[in-house]
Amino acid sequence: MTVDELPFLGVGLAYRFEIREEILANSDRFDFLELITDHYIDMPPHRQEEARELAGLFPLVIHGVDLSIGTHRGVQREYLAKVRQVREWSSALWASDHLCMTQAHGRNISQLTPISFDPRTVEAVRRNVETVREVVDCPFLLENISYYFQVPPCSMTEAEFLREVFTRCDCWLLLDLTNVYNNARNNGYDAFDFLDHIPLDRVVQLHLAGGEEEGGILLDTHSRPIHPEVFELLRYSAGRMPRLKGAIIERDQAIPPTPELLDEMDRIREILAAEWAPPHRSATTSQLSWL
Amino acid sequence: MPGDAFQDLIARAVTDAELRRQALDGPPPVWEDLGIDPLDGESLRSIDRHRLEIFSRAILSNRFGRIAESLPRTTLLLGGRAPELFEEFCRSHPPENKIHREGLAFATFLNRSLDDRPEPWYLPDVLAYEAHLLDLRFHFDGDYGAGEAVADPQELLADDGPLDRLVPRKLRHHRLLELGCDIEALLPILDQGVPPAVVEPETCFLLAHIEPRGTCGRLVLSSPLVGLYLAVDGEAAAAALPGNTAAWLGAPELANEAEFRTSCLAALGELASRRVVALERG
Repeated sequence: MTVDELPFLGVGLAYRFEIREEILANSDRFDFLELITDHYIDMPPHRQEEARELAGLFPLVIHGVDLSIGTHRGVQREYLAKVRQVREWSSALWASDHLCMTQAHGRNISQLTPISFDPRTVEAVRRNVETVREVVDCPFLLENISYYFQVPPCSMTEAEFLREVFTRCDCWLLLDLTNVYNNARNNGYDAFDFLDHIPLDRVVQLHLAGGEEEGGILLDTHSRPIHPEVFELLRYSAGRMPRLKGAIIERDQAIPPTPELLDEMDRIREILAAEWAPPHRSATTSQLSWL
Repeated sequence: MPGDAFQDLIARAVTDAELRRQALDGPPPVWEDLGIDPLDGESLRSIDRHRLEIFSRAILSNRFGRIAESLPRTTLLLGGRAPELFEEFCRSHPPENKIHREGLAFATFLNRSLDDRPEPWYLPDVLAYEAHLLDLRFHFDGDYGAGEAVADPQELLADDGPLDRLVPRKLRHHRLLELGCDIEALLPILDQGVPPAVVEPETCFLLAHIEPRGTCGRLVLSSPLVGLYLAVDGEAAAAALPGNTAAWLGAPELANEAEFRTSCLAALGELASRRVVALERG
C-alpha cells in the first residue's frame, strides 16, 4: 500500500502495557494505537499474541527506537527482519523510527542521539533507508528528534537537513511537534519559521507530548501534558499536511488518568477538524464523526 | 574528517563518564592513549559541554529507570545506596538495548559487589529471586514449552497400572531456588514499598515457573517435595519416585507407606499441572 492509498486513521495513543486496561475500556475513543516495535522484538511469546489481539481491536502502526538509521556503518538487517515480523503480527499500516543514532560500532547508547546535519549523513541515511525498504514492506517514516547538542560537522540547519533527507530518501516524515518546540526553545530559533521551511507535504504522522526542563533545557520525556505552544504549532501547520494520516499522543511517565488523555486527544481532533482538510473523503474519514 | 570513527567516539563519550572527562579535560596527548584521532578530539571539544552532560545524565537516568523496573524490590532494598552502586555499575558496563539485559547485568554486578554482610541480610535472596525470574522470563525458547506435549497428569496417575511405564521429565521454564527467608511472605510486603522491620531467617525452597502466557507462578516446596522434584531425572519411572524421594529424605521406610506414596503421586500431578514436569509413557 502506498502512502496515498493509506486511510486517515485519526487521533490515537502510544500504547503502553501499564494502561492496557484503560485503553481497552475506552477502545471506542482511540482511533488507532502506536506500538513500540522494540517491545515485541526478542520478547516472550505472549507479546506476539498481544500484538495480534490488539490488531483485532484497533488499526495499528509500529514505532521503533533501535534502528539507528543515522549510523554511517549501516543498519542491521537482522534487526530489520524482526521489525518486518512485528509488522506482520500487528498488521501495522506503516512503520517508523527516529532520525538519529542509537548505536555506533556495536555500542548501544540506549538514547536517541543526534547526528551531524551534513551531506555525508544525508547520504548515510539514504543508504540505510534503502536497506529498510528492501526488508520492511510498508511505508516507512522517520521522526525528527529533540537534540540537546549539535554534532559537528554541521554544514546545514536542521530544517535544511530534513528537507534533504525527505527529498532524497524513500521515506516519510513523522513530525514530532513537541520536538520542534523543544529544539526551537533549546537552540534559539523560531518554531513557526522552522515549520515554514520543512517539507510538510511529506508528513504522514504527528507526535505530540510534554516534557520536563533541566538546566534550562527542555527534555523529551513524555511525562507532562502537551505544552499549549505545541497545540499552536499544530494549528499553524495542520492545513499544509495533505498526506497526514494520524496523530499520536505519547506518554511514558507520570501517566495521568485516562480522561485527561482523552481530553488532549479531543483537543487535537478539534484543531484538525478546523484546520486540516482531508484531500478526499474516504470511507475511513467518513467514519470519524469529529472530522 | 569526522565520520564513522567520530560517531563511535560520540557513543563512547555520552555513555562513559571517565572517557568523557579525560577526552574533554585532559591535554590533547591523552587522545592518543584513548585511541582518539586528534581531529575527532577537537570536534568533541567543540560540542557544548553543559548539554553533553545533560544528555549523558539523561542516559544514566534512563538506565537507572530500566533497572528499577526490572529489579524493583532489589532497588527498594538498596534504598539510598542504589544511585552510588548504579553509577559504579555504569562505569564498567555500557548500556544494554533491552530492559531485562540491563537488569540481569546489574544483578550480576551486584552479586559481586555485595559484601559478606549485606544490608538487609535478605537482600541476596530478593536479588536472586528477581534475577532468576527475569532470566526465566526472557530465556524462553519458542513458547515457554506451551507446545510441548504434556499428557493429562490426573488421567495418567489415576491407576497404578502404567506407573512403571510412565517417565516424568523436567520441562525447561522453571527454577528451584533455595533461599534464606520466607520469600512468599516477604514479596507482598515489599510490593507495598516499605521493607519490613524484621525478617526471620528461614530456609525456603521456591519453585518459580513461567506459564505459557508469560506470567510467573511460585510454589513453595516442602522437603519431601524437593526430594520428589530432585528425583525426577528423566529416567526413573513414576512408580520409582516415592522410593527415590524417601531415599533422598533419608527415610527409606516411608517408601512402603501407602499414604506417602499417594502424596508423592499427587505432588507429581501438581508439578505436571504447573508444567514443571511432563509425564510421558516410556
